[in-house]
Amino acid sequence: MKGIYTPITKIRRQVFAEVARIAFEEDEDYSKLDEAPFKILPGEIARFRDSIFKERSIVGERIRLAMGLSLRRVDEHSRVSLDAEKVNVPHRIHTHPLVNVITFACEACPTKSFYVTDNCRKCLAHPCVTVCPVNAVSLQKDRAYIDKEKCVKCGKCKEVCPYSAIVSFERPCAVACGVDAIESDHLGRAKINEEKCVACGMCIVNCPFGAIADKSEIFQLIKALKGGKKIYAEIAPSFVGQFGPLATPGKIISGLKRLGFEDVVEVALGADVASIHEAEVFVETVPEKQPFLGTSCCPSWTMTVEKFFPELRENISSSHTPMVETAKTIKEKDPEAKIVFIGPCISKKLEALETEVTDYIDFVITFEELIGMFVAKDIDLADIEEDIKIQDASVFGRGYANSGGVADAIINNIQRLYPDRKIDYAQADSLTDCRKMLAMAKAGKRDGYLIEGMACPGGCIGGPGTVLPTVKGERRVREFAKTSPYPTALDNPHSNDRI
Amino acid sequence: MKRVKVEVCVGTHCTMMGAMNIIELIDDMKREYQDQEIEVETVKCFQDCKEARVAPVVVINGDKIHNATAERVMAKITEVIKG
Repeated sequence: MKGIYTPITKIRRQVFAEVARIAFEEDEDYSKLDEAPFKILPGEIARFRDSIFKERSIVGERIRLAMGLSLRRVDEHSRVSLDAEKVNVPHRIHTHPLVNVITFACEACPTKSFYVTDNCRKCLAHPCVTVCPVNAVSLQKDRAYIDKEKCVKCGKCKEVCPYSAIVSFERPCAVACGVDAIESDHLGRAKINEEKCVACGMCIVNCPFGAIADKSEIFQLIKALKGGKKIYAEIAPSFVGQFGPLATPGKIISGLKRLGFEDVVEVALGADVASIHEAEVFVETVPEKQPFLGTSCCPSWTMTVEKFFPELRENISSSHTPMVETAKTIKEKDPEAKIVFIGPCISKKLEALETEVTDYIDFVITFEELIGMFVAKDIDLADIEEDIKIQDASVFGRGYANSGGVADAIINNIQRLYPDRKIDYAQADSLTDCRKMLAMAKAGKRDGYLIEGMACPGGCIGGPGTVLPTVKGERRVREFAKTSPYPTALDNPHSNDRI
Repeated sequence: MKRVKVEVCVGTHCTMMGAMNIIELIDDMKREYQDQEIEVETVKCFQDCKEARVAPVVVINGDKIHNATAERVMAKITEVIKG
């Protein structure tokens, strides 16, 4: 459902805007948090669920997550604003888990099952009965019937039915999850297995009941922006077009400065630095020291390798991610800088907690959260006159947002630096495909390869925190990349300064 | 041939409230009704949001729709074409 504006998208964004509005206000009146669900869902008629009370309670939980607070217990009385004073701080607070199921918003969809629909004509041939290996299908009064106790979900009956009368049904969250982290609680509701989850956010954007949400850092970021310290924004390559067709990159930067940011740097600059480093690492290590090299920029991909293929971990590039490389560039100029990563990604929120990263990155927010901040502050990007020129990165660095873009950049550098070197490469842009690619690599079938892994379909432009539909995002990224005066990372004076 | 002029506000507030998805949908409609002249224009804020929560705003042949949804915009365009 990513890319379609649904009532869930609307509520999610209204919550970000409302929390940002409360954070920008001067007083510390936490009762505004208790009132927020009434503001977002006014009236007394339920829109989508059985009662307005339940709808508002769910919005209340969303408000808490957007504040960085934990979910409340369902069986104890408490206010939306419970513990709000504890998160009213100008620095990041993080409590596990990042991705949360709002249990009472979950409709406890059945796990994978097969149904016979009205299309069944109870035909004479009834091949469904014949092919079932466990004798679970039988002919009843009106139609074929599948005994759920016996069914082993092989799907053979569905395949052979000449009337397409048998359908399968799976939980959308579980289908979206590429690492099989969705399990069930004692009431049959979705439960995330933290051991497996890599925080890609695909369950969040694919649950048709909007029952899964991640925590946000916007409240604390706004407190920090109001505190007067110098805060820099580094904006991910997928930012182009995210805030509407009239919000040019230059206007977005002007808007960020109006929000209180000291300056804005393209993360594509860090991508240039990382792509040169990864090119060097590839030439030095593959195949003598390690059989293949995996890219390192997507944290959900890296976590997937760590959790499911730990023996392959050392093949993943040791290069810092573009997020960290960009932060280093900013810190070189201003060692006191506080740095916010703004991107399409929620797993970056976890990457920022890693020991090697936490000193560089102070906050991580998404484009969707940022647009809520603009709206809360009444900043209309389309109406800004000023169009600041931004020129931090090369064509290839800016292409990192699209799937295949990372490998393209690295291969281009290798070809420029070592023209005789031949490179094979493979890429995958969903965690299901990433795991298949890793299985091939484990079997020795990717020896000598550069492999690019991204968790989101289409690459970062398909991330859960985007505002723009993926296909349009891909096009806008390509168009903006072409406007760079530096054809490759090696031509970019900013990245060469760093190396 | 009917001429339909659709102005979609793409100010930041309307963008947050789904303006880009409305444009996407009108693009699909243009493919369906190739014999009609459907013109989409992205425009700046109409300044209606100051009074009440009206985003997103879409204007079809001069008629303003507040709190526009893809369904309502589609219905209005169809009405103009068929009517």
